[in-house]
Amino acid sequence: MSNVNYELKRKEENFSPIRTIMLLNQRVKEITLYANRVYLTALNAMFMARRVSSKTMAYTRVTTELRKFSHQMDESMSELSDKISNMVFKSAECRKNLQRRVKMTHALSLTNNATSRRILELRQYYQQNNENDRSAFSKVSQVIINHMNRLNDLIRIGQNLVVLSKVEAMQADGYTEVLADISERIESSLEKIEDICKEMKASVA
Amino acid sequence: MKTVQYIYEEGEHKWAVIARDPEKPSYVIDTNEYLVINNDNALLLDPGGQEVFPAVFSAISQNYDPANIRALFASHQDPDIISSLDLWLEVRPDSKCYLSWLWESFVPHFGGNDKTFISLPDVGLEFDFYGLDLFAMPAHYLHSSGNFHLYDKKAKLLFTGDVGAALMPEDKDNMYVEDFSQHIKYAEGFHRRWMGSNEAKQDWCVRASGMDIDMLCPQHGAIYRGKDVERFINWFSDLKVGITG
Repeated sequence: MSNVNYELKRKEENFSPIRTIMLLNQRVKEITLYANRVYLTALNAMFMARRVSSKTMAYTRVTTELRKFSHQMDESMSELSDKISNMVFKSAECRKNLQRRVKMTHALSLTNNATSRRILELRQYYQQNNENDRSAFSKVSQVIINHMNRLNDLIRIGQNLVVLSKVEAMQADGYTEVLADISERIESSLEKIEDICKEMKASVA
Repeated sequence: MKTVQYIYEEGEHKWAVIARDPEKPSYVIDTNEYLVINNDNALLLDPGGQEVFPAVFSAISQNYDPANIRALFASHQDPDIISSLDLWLEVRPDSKCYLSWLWESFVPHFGGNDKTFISLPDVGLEFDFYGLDLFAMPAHYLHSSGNFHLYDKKAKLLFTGDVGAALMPEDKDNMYVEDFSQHIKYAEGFHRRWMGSNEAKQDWCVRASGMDIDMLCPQHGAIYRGKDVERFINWFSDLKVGITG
């Protein structure tokens, strides 16, 4: 019987939702950083395009859309970050309870006192509750997956805007190369966000 | 697993010591927990840390219904004394905990709420525990600044927390002191370093020497009984404490 409990203890020790969630929070901050970079690059592109000529008006409009897009992405990540901070607290609480449950379950498994009603009640209670903390982490995972799906949709919009900006850059005589280079930089930031998004989804799947 | 041994029995009034866990991890100091029983009511003295809870709980439950533990007595605030508090409160949520007033806002970090603690004033407290006449004896600065021992007038047993404690080698697991002069070597360094005040120590020795004590029960190491109680008090009285060397 005690072997079963040591196995349980080992499993619980390997289960570290706090560490996982904190790593995810770092990744969210990276996404926010890239989203801000997209915003600044788009802003820079807009000022440059305005200076060039009326031929770059369309490019300017695209950069405005890109700024809106990066703002949406920033808002989405800020919302996720708040949720994650809240979950870090809940996970710490969950971890504390889990440790208590491991010790209590271990203690109950060592006793063969069948006459104490309280011991029987505790055995039932811990049997029912041992999985609760794990399900709390499943909820965290689902929230992150939902946000990552939303982010994927935003990335698609961003990628389309980048394609559009490249097309418009070709109309800007003499500045085609400069504006195309800016579009490339925005595209590169989006690729990085997409990679992080994939990693995060994989880590909570 | 720890074992339970009765060190005093008079009808339904008993003292049990829960000690000597051979499976205890070597990095955790071995502790003695004491259970003062009067029929279906028990007081657990220095219940121990979270790490030893499974061993203490299971050892008690082999002999006694742990749901009858109505209160805990914490000699002081250290984790090896009382960090299992929240686990014991799971067993019996209405349990009380006797504790120095000094630690009342610190120990709740281990568990409990505003209804859990019974405050022990600096001068000590005589209290009736389900028909037992008990005395929370002041032992401040020995070693904690808010420290209490517990005396059972009828059983003539004095629980002394860290006073009398000995850090015994693995191969010496006798429950009682067998050879005082040999045993005290394992206690000397501990007392010199951990007991912080010569004045407080002297006060304690004067008080203890005026009490009728059959056994002196420390939280670590072997129990002193008979003439060894007096030997210990005299030895402690002569010892210079509060030094690192």
